[in-house]
Amino acid sequence: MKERNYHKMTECIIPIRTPTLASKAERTLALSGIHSTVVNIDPSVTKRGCGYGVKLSCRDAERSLLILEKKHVPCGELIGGGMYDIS
Amino acid sequence: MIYLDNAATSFPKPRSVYSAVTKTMKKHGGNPSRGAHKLARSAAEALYSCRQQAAELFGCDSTSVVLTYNATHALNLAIKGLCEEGSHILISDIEHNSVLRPVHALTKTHNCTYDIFPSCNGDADAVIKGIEEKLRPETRMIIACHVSNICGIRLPVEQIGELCQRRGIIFIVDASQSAGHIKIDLNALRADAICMAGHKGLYGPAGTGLLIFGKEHSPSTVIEGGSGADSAELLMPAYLPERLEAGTLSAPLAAGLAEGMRWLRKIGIDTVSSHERYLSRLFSDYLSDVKGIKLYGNDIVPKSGTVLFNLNGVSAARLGQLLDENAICVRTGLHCAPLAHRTLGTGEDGAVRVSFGYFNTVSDVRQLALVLQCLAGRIN
Repeated sequence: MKERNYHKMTECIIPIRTPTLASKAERTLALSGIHSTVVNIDPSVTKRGCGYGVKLSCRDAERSLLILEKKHVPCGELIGGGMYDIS
Repeated sequence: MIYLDNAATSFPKPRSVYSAVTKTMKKHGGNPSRGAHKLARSAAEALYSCRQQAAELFGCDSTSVVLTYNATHALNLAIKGLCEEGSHILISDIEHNSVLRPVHALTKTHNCTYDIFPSCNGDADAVIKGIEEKLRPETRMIIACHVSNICGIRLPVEQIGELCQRRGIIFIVDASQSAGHIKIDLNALRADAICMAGHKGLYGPAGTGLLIFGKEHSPSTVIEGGSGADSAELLMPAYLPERLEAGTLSAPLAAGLAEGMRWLRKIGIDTVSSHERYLSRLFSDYLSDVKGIKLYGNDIVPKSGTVLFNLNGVSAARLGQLLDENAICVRTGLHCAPLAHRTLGTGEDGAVRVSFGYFNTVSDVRQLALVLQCLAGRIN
């Protein structure tokens, strides 16, 4: 049986619905020392059309979600961070 | 050239405002909130900085700041967006056409009615009494300017806000002449929305305005189109500010406005307003020596940087031309506020308005007074 290879995603995306909230998230996280970048999310993912998110290191994801919740930035379900079959 | 028309638009602007506009045009040329490449991101950053400066200046959250093209745009979005069919609306007797005309339009499109309450030279008890006398069970909205655009009358917006909150009435404040001149705390106002120009007391470029919501609303839209988000939906997004920001916004202008507000916070609103008041008081003192001058709306001591007057024997427009020939820029006529002029009794030709800004000097006041004294001597 062939051995399977897995790759752990190190970058995650926190989906955020609007460009303004995405900018707010980026700045809020920066104040807490977390680097993130605003990115687009495919319409096939959002199901509503163009969407936004902040890309960051997966190790900061959980803390970031907590910070953003405290600052009233509504977030979607985290994208990435899992194990992916690359064999 | 002496520029004394700062109530129309402030000039000059702080140097940093010019630099911010130019830098953004040259270096952050992407379409803000449309895409996420580097240039789009940096342009979006300019918009967000503008919202954040406004949030810090007025005590609100950055997401409740809607960027508009001017105060009229902001007022139309707020008034038409929050108005219900068949509402009764109250406005003050010193409102600008940017309030009067949208409200009048609602009588045609939304079956609304409106009444006008007296400004009573800003006397709080008299204004509240006047409002209570005009209230009806179907009164759903009150709109009031914070400060008149033609004289120093200041309405008691905090008390009006308290009355509106108690009775569940939407309250919209036109802060076009107070933003940057008076400290405004959105929570203390208890207003549903405040509207203002960005190019007057906030020292931003022309083509900027702000609509800030003080309470949670999802107003009806007046303009629909691209919003950068939820683009597969037929309706505009339900949330602010994107709901009211259809179409591409100007990142360079937003950067300029952000810089204007940053500069203002650094200098201090109190410093700016006390300088403007000092100049208008000095000017009023000079005017008292000029034969044939009639002052309006400011009592004896001006409460703002704006002075309204006429000179016997010469129309306001002609006096404006004569001052222009002497390299002095003032505004004459009705100042887009015929209602306010009627209240002050300036007559059908209106009056001459002198409005000081932070960059005016005592020397400007002396020069204006000297020219007026000469003209008055020739005419009377």
